[in-house]
Amino acid sequence: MKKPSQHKFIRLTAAALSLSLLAAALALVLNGTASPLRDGGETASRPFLRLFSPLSASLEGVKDWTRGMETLREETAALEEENTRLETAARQGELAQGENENLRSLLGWAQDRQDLDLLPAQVLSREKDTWDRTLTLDQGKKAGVRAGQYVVEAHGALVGLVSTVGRSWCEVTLLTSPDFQLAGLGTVSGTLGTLEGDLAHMVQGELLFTPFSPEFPMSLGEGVVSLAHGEEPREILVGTVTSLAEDPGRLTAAGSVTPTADLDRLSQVYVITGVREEEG
Amino acid sequence: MIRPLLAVTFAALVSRCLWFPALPTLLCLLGLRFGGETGAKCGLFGGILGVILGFSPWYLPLFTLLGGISGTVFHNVSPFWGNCLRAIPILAVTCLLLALGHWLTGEDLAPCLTLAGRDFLRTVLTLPVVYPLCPKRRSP
Repeated sequence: MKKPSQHKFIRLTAAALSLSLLAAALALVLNGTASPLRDGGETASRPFLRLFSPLSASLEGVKDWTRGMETLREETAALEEENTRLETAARQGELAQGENENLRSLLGWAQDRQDLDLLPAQVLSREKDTWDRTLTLDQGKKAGVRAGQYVVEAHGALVGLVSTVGRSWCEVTLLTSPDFQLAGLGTVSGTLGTLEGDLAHMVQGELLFTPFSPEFPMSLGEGVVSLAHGEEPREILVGTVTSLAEDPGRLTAAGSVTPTADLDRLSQVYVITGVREEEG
Repeated sequence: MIRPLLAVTFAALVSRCLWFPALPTLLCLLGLRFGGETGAKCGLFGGILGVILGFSPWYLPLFTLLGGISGTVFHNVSPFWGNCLRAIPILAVTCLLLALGHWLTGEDLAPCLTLAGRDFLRTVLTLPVVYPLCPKRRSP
């Protein structure tokens, strides 16, 4: 009885390995688009996400209390109230171009970023895995979301990049995720480099900024923005250089960047769905 | 077989919606209670559900191994120790395997072990909650 059972176990393990390789290959081929199975899974889990959201919210509340974030919670509540009021105005059909400018100023973002098309999105769920940092949003292909688009928070700081898109949902890879990678620019030194996540920095809530060359050394405390390429939005704030480290292999000082966006307390974000050409 | 699969489905949804690692704990308990073959089947089913719900595809073989090894190696260990106590070392080894896998992809060992430790603590904390979910084996 024992041997046939062990053979079956080996066969099951081999089947599991094959299926996982197939799933990984499918993810590579689809390149940002969710498979129909995954789309169905997200849609099927949506009612359970809503069902469990009060409990999830309670667990988050306990965590916040232990961290002593009372004042920040009040600030978030005020912003959410403001957000609710603005959404009500939109539903009543009052949101015109003038209202849009008013919204941007209310949100505190620089008025000269009207070159960006912003799509508001609610955070449905946070990371489902300890080894990664992702968010799931309630906007997808139907609303014009595409893989690779930037996601920012209310003050314009980068939150992450859209990685997988379904019909009415999308997954965002956060800045501190090991899968995150983006070209960056130091605002003071002019250093060009790569912003990327790794597990060591993810544990600290930071990401790594590695300069392309040693000609422009970074300075501590300087801001880092995204480097536009093609139709990507220009100069989206990423964070601040909080430490520098010598990398013996590269002779350049790589820096740890602390994101400006508070990635642990996001409830509403904005997907940059388009960039308009500036007039003049 | 239906009851374990239903329990796995519920645990997968809880893991997805609440970020509460109920699924690995349940698979371990199912293997201990029902044996290696059932544990591996439930692990395979749980892995497939996980991929559909957005987990990494590499959890598929990991969950299958978790369910199968729990049942094959530990199923016949003295019941004196109870399922919960037997589950703890199995879950620890699973988390270590995860850390090893990430280390082999080029990550530093220290953060891998830190995250594996957090994972292990969370899965152990789910034991009291998941234990009632695990269906009892019906006597023949």
